[in-house]
Amino acid sequence: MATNDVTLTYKNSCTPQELDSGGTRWFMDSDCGRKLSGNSVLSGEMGNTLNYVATADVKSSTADPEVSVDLQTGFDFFYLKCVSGDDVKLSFDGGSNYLVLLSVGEAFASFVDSSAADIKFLTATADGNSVVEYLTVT
Amino acid sequence: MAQDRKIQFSTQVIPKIESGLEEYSGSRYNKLHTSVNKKLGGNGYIDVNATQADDSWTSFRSPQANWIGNLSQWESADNTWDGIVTISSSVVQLTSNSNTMAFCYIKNTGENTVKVTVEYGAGSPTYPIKVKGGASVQFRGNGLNTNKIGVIRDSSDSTIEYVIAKT
Repeated sequence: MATNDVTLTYKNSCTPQELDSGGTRWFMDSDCGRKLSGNSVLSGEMGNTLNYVATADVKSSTADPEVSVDLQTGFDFFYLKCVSGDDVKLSFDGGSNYLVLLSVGEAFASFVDSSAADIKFLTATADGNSVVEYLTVT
Repeated sequence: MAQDRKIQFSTQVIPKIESGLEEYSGSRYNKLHTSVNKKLGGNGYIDVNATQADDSWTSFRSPQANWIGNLSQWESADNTWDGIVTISSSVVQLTSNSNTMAFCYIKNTGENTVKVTVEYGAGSPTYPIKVKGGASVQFRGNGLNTNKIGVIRDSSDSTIEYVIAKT
């Protein structure tokens, strides 16, 4: 049988920086001393059902009409990017707490626990409007 | 004390699908997933507080830091002096400082998967984020306190390095 297994390669990296005492140049933060990066390949750890939404309009809960995107528990990988508009906030507990924030151009990607992550997201600004792209693998 | 601090960050995702022929297992290869047909990702930067709560805002010290300057922390340190924190079956709180969190980065430097909670101290915290060996996760906070981040092993012990910065 020909295969159609989904494989994901993902990488999160950051560079803490520090302004020199003269206030003129940024250097790598002296408390870290280096760039930080981690990457992984996911294949057998997750299912093979990929759902990609290139453009989704998201509004805040107070907007009219109320529009948010609610992804129920049960998937293994989650990616979200705030493409344009207002900041987007992200909940891992079905909307009780929105503890992660994304501004325009920023993305979040992670292997998630299919039994624990009930992901929901909406704009962080009252009556705001955002455009996002997201991907899940179940 | 630093004059100012910021953190640049980026995320990349490459969704692929395995293709191949029925009888030639050696011919299988990965190509971009046909539902996406491109690489995904984003980047940004965030200003963080120039004066972090203490040295526990990162798990490690700079290679340029001198030992004499670190003696007070070196004596009181738990197991973070080399930048490696061991993760076992008891949840590890990254910092006990209760400040508004700007940014968090966690890398699994071991081989076994760890799980991350954003509600450390809750009665029954959930661990929605999983980090495989070699992988990392990062996120900005939205009213989240730095003392709410905890890490626990999935099934076997591992190690992490981290940055957790306040606003």
